[in-house]
Amino acid sequence: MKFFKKLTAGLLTLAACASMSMAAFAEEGTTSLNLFVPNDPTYTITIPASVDLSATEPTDIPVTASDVNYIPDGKKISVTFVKGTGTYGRLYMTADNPNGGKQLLHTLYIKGTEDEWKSGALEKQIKGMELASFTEDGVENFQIKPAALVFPDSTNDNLRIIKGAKYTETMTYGIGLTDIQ
Amino acid sequence: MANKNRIHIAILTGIIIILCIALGVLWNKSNTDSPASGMGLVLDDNASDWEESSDDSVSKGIQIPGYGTITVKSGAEKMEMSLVNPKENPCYFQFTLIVHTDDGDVTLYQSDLVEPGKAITEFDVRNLPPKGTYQMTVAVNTWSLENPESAMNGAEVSTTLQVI
Repeated sequence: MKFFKKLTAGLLTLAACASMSMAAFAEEGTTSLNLFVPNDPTYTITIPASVDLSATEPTDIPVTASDVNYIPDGKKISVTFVKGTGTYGRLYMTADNPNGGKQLLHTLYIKGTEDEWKSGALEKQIKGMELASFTEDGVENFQIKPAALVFPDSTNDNLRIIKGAKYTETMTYGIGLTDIQ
Repeated sequence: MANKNRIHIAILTGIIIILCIALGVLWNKSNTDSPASGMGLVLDDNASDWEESSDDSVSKGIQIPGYGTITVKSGAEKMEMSLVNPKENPCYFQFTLIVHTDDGDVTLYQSDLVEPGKAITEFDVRNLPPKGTYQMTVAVNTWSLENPESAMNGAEVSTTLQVI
């Protein structure tokens, strides 16, 4: 009997020790700590300094992306139309009238990645329109054409090209990362 | 007397050695200056200058660098950021930093004209917004090198400003 009591006491002590050690193991759980900050995207966009537009057909205007690195998944570099130098940022060319009189205007049409011609006179439609997009190095063209190609029979000075007039215009492009739709 | 003769012979020998070395160097140089000489190759008189651009209607472009997230300490009076005009560009750059806040657009900085091949890396800022993350536009106005009063195509580059 004595032996049985001793055996029971011994087993109970062992069980107690085992449970304590299990609790101790539970308190030694691990947590993995991680930190990752992705590289900042880098790229260079090259826009034309000047382009001689054709009076007879749409003109391709190249936009180039180079040194493109670390663009996050699901993102692209988007090049957009921000504004022309016309009123409200409209896209039209101006020229001194070679015959005298008031300054000449000529509306332009522009086509970007949506593959749809839009009038430069409708600033709300063209502002922010995408002209080119990139996820890696490459060249993409957008197109511009004079309104005279859309209205060949027009006698409106804003829609026909006056010979001898030197038309000019500059554009502002938007450049940034956007979600790939 | 014999000693004097030996000295003269030694000096003459030295001069002859130096002359030989000099002639050897000159001969070697004349051969390396013209790699084609001695190989029967002659430059073609019909060859003319070649310009890389194959499309005359589109001029050389204006390079606009993109920007990653810019971080600045709250209340800072100076900001570090590379505002670069790549050296190949045919124009001056003028940079304007505009932050878009809930209260409207705020101009942090506007540079003077930056020549191609130069960059501004540190500058004074004003109107820095409180701690937070904001959309920022780096507006790049461009002006012709040939006629600095003539504006060229410009750009507005979008990036993120973190004020910490």
